[in-house]
Amino acid sequence: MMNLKKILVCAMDIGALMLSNGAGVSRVEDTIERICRAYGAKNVEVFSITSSILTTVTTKEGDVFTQTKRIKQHAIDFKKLDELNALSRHICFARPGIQFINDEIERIDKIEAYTLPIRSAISALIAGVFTIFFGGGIMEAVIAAMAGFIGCVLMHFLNKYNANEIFSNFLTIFMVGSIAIIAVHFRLAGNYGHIIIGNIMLLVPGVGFVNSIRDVIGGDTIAGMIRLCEVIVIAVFLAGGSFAALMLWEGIL
Amino acid sequence: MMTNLIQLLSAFLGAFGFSILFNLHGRKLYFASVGGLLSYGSYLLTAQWNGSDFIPYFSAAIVATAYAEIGARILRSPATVFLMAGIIPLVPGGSLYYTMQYAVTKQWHLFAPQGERTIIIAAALAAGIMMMSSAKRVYDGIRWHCKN
Repeated sequence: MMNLKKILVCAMDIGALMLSNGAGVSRVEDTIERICRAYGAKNVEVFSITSSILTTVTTKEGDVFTQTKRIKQHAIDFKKLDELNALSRHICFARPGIQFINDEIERIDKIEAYTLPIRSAISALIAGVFTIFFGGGIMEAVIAAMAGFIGCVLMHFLNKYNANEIFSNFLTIFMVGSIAIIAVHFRLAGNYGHIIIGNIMLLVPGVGFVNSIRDVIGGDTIAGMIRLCEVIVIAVFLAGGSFAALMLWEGIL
Repeated sequence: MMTNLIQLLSAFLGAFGFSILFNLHGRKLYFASVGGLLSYGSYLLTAQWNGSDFIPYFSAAIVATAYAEIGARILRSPATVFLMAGIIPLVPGGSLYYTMQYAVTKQWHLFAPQGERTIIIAAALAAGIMMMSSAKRVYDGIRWHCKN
């Protein structure tokens, strides 16, 4: 059936968008299967990991369609995820036409995040707050907040020009570490460790770490292991970046 | 007592900040931020009775997941949206950092216990989340079964 072929394409678009905006693997598989079944597919097989989706649909007439999708960029945006969830519910319930679904997907994809000044200010707040949370003093929190603000702006420009994720994390934490060590050298703060930890909370993929173990316990072993590897590599580079800053400035100061 | 209050306030503000970075708005934003306060509060409460790492983080994760599932039902969003903010104050970011610090500086006698602690916390959080979301799925199944 011609129609089901187009529905498969729509469902895959929705699934890929959900995955790149922070949905779990099992949720994406579930959504694609429900949408295809709502339009009369006899059998739907979906397999997904964090970077790819593979779906095969069998129609009632016995035709078989397969599509794969590769997801390269991940950026958590719960507003988009929320709207996609509402859309997929609506699709399963009301079964609208292809044109409507495509328009909605395009609209959701264009939803804006908060502006850069707001995000930088919020990054500063988070860095300062977590410095205090992990035992730092007021002056340390202020310096961590400044570093967090500059770090967010730096991260934004690196992402804009397609920098590698590990490279931009390394560079950002290197800059944060340098600010912390210089501030401690001039007696503005007592302990550079607290300043760095406050900022690391912003960058460390803690949520990814918990999610990876959740995937493994939930039965999606491959997806969980891939995510775990990503997390460990990023954590090693974050530690490496801050210690590169420490070694460099100890030699100079 | 004072430290606990400061930590609770920072947990709330941290969850609020991350919810904004994750692009939440309006009622959902406030609901998610309160999740951070609630989960860290229940961590502090259980940590008073139980000195280990596992039980307090495990029960805090259960509270955070239950809160997120209730929020998902009331505000009609996926539970992940509220779960992430609730989990943020519990995430072992500091511990993960110290583990890596000991590895980079080759202090292997400190690396092993710190690494173990990080893994235990992460496993406790994951187990708590899985426990509660599986229970919710069973509950939904029973309700569906009774209706039909």
